[in-house]
Amino acid sequence: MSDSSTGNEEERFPRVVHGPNRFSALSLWLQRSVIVIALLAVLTMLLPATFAIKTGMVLVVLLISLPLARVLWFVQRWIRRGDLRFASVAAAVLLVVAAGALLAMAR
Amino acid sequence: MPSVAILCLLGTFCAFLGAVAGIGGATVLVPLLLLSGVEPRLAAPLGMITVAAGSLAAASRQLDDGVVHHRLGLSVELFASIGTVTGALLSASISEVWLARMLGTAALIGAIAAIARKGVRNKPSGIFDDESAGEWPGTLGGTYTLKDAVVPYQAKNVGFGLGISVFTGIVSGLAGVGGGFMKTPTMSEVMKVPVKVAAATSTFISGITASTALLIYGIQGRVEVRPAAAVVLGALIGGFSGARLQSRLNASTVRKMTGLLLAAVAVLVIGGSL
Repeated sequence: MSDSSTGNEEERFPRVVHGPNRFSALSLWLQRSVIVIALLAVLTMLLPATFAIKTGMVLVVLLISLPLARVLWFVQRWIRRGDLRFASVAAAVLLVVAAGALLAMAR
Repeated sequence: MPSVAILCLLGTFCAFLGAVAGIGGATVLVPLLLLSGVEPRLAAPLGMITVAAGSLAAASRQLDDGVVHHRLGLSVELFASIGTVTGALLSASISEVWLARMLGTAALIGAIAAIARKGVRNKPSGIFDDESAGEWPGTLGGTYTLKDAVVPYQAKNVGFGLGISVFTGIVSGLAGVGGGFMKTPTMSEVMKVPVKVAAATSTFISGITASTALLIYGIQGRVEVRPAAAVVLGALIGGFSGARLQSRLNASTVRKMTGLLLAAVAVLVIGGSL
């Protein structure tokens, strides 16, 4: 690559160096959650109805809360790193979800 | 209600498609569930369960590959949610037939845009080779890995793309679907983000949409736990294997697959409205 094209690239794309595996903690946490969800799904299919309802409810609660917990994880991460603009966007998404749930309950 | 094995297979199939092409999957699953004899009242929650489970199963792989742009995804999701609330409020005043045709047309436009485009838009750049792929802090840009090279990208037409997200949200709210099949082409064809990043980001935000919808279905008592468990098990397998396959495919193949799936969605939705 020529010097001039490198210069243009650097102008177009601000260079921000970040370390490898920066989301490894989140990734590991999600992997473990998926294993728990799979076990709960198997238990819900195999257990008698009385127990299956309980494990099934935990399963559904996890399915609802995990994507929202992931967003919350980014809110705290971005606040800690001073990226307040995107932290507010993520927090606003959670607020919209909460508003939707409240509207559904009100009906 | 179909057997546990059939529900599991349907969940696998749709979550696999969702993770590879970033189209969510409920738009394909719900008609299939209806065809297999599931009541409409229960089909929509099962569709959303597939999307949520498939998104979770794909998440770890997509995070490790650095293909999810969380800042872009949450920005799109915020604007789409505003549209979804507006659409849900307007839903009583628009006929279902016209709604289905609007959805089908949106899918068809996305399909044409994805299939018609040739070549690779974002080129590899040697100056980023020492970086791990991923989003850049504070921006809607980043890098992703294409074969062995690192490719920089920056979202373009952001205002227009977010405006379209409001529209896709309105259509989703009107029709009661997640709208993942409209979010991937919006990010890839309007905002010019690489299709692999757009598909993975769409899979991430589809999980949020599905979780919101599930919360509401749960409050309404529309989630049956045993069929849900069967669909979850299938969706975990489908989401995991779809994400693995997507990381191995080249961008052009992912784009063509997304286009073909969108065309299939358009045929399903428009066909059902005739």
